[in-house]
Amino acid sequence: MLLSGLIPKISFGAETGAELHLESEADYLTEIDTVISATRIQQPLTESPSSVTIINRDMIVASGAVEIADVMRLVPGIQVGYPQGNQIAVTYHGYGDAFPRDMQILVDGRSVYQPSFADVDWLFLGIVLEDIERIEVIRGPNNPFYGSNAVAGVINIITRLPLQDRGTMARITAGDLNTRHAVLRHGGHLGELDYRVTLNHQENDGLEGNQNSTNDSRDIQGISLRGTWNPQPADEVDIQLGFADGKLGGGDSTVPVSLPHNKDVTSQYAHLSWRRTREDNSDLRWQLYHNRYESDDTYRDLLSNAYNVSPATISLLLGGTPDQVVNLGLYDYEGERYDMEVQYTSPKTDRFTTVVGAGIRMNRLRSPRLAGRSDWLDELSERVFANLSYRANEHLLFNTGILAENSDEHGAHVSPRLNASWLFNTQHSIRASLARAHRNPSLLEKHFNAVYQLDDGTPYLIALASADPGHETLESLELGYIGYFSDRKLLVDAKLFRERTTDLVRFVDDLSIMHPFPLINNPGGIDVPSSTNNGSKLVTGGEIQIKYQTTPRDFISVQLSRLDTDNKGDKRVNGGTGDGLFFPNERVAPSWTASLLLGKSLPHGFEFSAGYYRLSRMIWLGAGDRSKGYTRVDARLAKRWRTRRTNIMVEGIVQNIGDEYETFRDRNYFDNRAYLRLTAEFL
Amino acid sequence: MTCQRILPLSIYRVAASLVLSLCMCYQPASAGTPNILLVASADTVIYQRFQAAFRTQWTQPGGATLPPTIYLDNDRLDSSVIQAGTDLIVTIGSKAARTIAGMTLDIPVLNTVIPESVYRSLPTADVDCRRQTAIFIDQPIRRQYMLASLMFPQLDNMGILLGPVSAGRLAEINKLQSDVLQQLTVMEVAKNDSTMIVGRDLIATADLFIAINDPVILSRENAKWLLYVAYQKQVPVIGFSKTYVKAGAAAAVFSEPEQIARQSAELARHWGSSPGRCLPSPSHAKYFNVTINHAVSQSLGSSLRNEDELVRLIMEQEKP
Repeated sequence: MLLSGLIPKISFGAETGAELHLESEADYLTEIDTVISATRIQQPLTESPSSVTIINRDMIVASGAVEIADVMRLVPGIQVGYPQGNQIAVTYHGYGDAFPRDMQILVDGRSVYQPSFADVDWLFLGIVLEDIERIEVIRGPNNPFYGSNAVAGVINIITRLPLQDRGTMARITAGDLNTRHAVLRHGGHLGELDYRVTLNHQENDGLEGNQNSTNDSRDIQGISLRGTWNPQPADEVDIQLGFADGKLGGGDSTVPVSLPHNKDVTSQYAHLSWRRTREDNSDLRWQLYHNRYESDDTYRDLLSNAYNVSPATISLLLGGTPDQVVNLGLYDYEGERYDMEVQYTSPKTDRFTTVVGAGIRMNRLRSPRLAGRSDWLDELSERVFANLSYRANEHLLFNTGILAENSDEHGAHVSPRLNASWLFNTQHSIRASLARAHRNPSLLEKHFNAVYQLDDGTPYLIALASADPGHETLESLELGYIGYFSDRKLLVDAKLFRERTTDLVRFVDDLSIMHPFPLINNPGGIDVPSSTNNGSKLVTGGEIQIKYQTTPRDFISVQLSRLDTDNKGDKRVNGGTGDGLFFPNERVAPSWTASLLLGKSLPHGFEFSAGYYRLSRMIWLGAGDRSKGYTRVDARLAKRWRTRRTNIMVEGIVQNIGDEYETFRDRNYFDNRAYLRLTAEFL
Repeated sequence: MTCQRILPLSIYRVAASLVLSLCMCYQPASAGTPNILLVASADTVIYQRFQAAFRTQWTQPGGATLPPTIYLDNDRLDSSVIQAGTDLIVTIGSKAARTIAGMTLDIPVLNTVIPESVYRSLPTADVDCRRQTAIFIDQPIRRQYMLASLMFPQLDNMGILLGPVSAGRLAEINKLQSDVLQQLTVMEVAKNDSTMIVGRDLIATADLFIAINDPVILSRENAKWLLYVAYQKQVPVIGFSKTYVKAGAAAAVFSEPEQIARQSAELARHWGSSPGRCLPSPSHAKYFNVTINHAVSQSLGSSLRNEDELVRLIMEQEKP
């Protein structure tokens, strides 16, 4: 998504075309919430073809979140889980494992999706919470505008302009889990260039319940830079650079071949975009970015230690081969993405607005451990997209979009979307949307060949395999309503939906694949998980979000979702008896998700906020377990001091007032946590 | 009304009926409660807000009837639609003002929620007793100046950009300059000038920028650009709407439709009770709000007053 990135547009109204240059009272009074994401056209929420959740800066601050991903709990239908203390899974409408793959995540238009596992590492987005201005979440398929992977929806993280962050800011957060976060930011200008540089450090010991067996700690440092340059009104140039490096704990001593250890992770990105606004108010945008992510997960130890058995047992299992030191560590890989895109938006007329664009992308992956080969795997894809917004009359609006994508790994496919909206007026609308979306498997999903080997090259254990899956297909129907009440202070957004996905790309145990030494157990069992197309899912339900802005600073926001699922598929293929059904009666998505956030300004610079989060029981897939469901209450109390050039804020944050709850795995506990945060800004 | 008995009873009865009928048909508004007709430019939120607030203000003291409303986008409007016995028409918005001004009606008109430039373009007849007036939506430049000087007392040179629509306010600016100590620097964007170049020159010269609405020069793109350049140069902008403040102006002074409705109801009530019923001269809105972009204003070194305090201080300074 190519965003303007600059100060929000001001809406001016004129009564008729003939009176365009005369003043109007609308010049003084019109104020419209706009989003950019759903169609790449700036349009009011009431005209958006999808439900969009906007999490603004005030909500981010009020949530007391310490992680960016935690803010996602404020989106109806999203579930957040912790496979480990240093790994976060964010999934929409359930069916999530440790690597959720069906939402596109963007930072200022740059996809942070990894070409390896087709997921997002939330600890290495290249930005910090403090740099985020707002998050727009499009709930529903949006392939036509954001490509493959925008199947369930799009999370668009929009960072603050450097212009908004003049001066220096320092922030320290400390608390439970031995948490130590520090952020140092400076913004300024060099001639026509505005810039912001952010340094950050984060560390903690991982989840409480795991500390005896699992190493899920983190120690990460990063630096990011954003610069904006406006040589003239028509041109905006935006450059963003980032680098992060850290140690993430890995391994679980209760799981074979998975000893606690640290892996080194580095990530970097470079993003350049240019936007020209023409005199006829059309605009042309171009962007280029490069992401690189490397996980060095190699360590060595004796096989007897890796399996927690005696050397003699190892020799027995390996047919006489003696116990020896071997390379361990599974998540050893490096991935890159290069992407270039150009987009043209036509001038907005009374009837039509069109957006057309094209892009080219190269995904690259190298992982001898996971892919069983030492060369680079490359995937080149091209895409063209278009959206047409047609206003038949003052009440009826059509949005239609299409994406045509061709990949040398997956072939070509087309993803269309059709939407019709009835606008009762500028405050109320209803809509119906039909969409088809495709998710291409990631490079690894197509090329998994994770084989553990002795130093002489003898394989002894197959961890992961692939049956060369093709793409998944989602078909979706959505009916929605958006309305403003009470002088636009109250927003209600509701939708009903039906989403059917076929040819799911998932792991099934392939009984035709035999381990070289059958007596050695795969860490997950004796079977070999193989990535393949298998099964389908049907998700139906409804979502509602209500936000009431009582004053410019005070608000209450409520989010609810109800999900019903029907799953078909096999747990095992190519053998076995009577096995088969893929969690037929299990709750792979929670029936109910609810959240509430309220923020209140108090006298004398105090602020209070509280959050309530409820998730009913569900099962996390892959390495996940059945989760009993939980209720969580967070609270935050802050005090600000302001002088003409200085802001100081002290915050006390408590997360999960109440009983601890399981997250993702039945051994991962989210307990009561408290944090103290100190922020100083010098303007 | 009483009728004295001077003729036979049956004739009295007939006469009494006739007189009563005439009394029913023609009811001159009793003092303080004229019959009002609201004419709104459209059935949309801005005008609905005024209408709802006016009706509340009008009926609150008790006794006044709820004034009917005509919405120009929904209802046909011609002379026959306007209710006989209407004492005062209150238009809401520019379209309603122009429409009523273009009709031949002998009913006084109060135009509300209308920019001054639009009102000045309406046909008027010079009469001794005013039959047309307005309460403007735009603010007096003096009020924006007061806000600027309260928030940024250390700044001496205030810049104002005028274009073809706002050029008529030059006299107002000159009057203000004669009353204040700060320097007011005015630059006019002529027909072939680039707003960006003139605007950039003004921002380079001035310590603070007072934005006056002019849709010719302050189009959406130009306004965004000027706000950006001003902030980059650390020049505060005092705007004229909440939208400007959201987009990066340090602060703005503006009137909500409810505030104009309140003043309109007061004016109508006072007019209704005044002998001769001459409308007052057109004026800017008496009631207003201030909104501040705290992040922007603080970074530019503003004083730490809050919005309510600034409104109070400005109103005190405006007292005659």
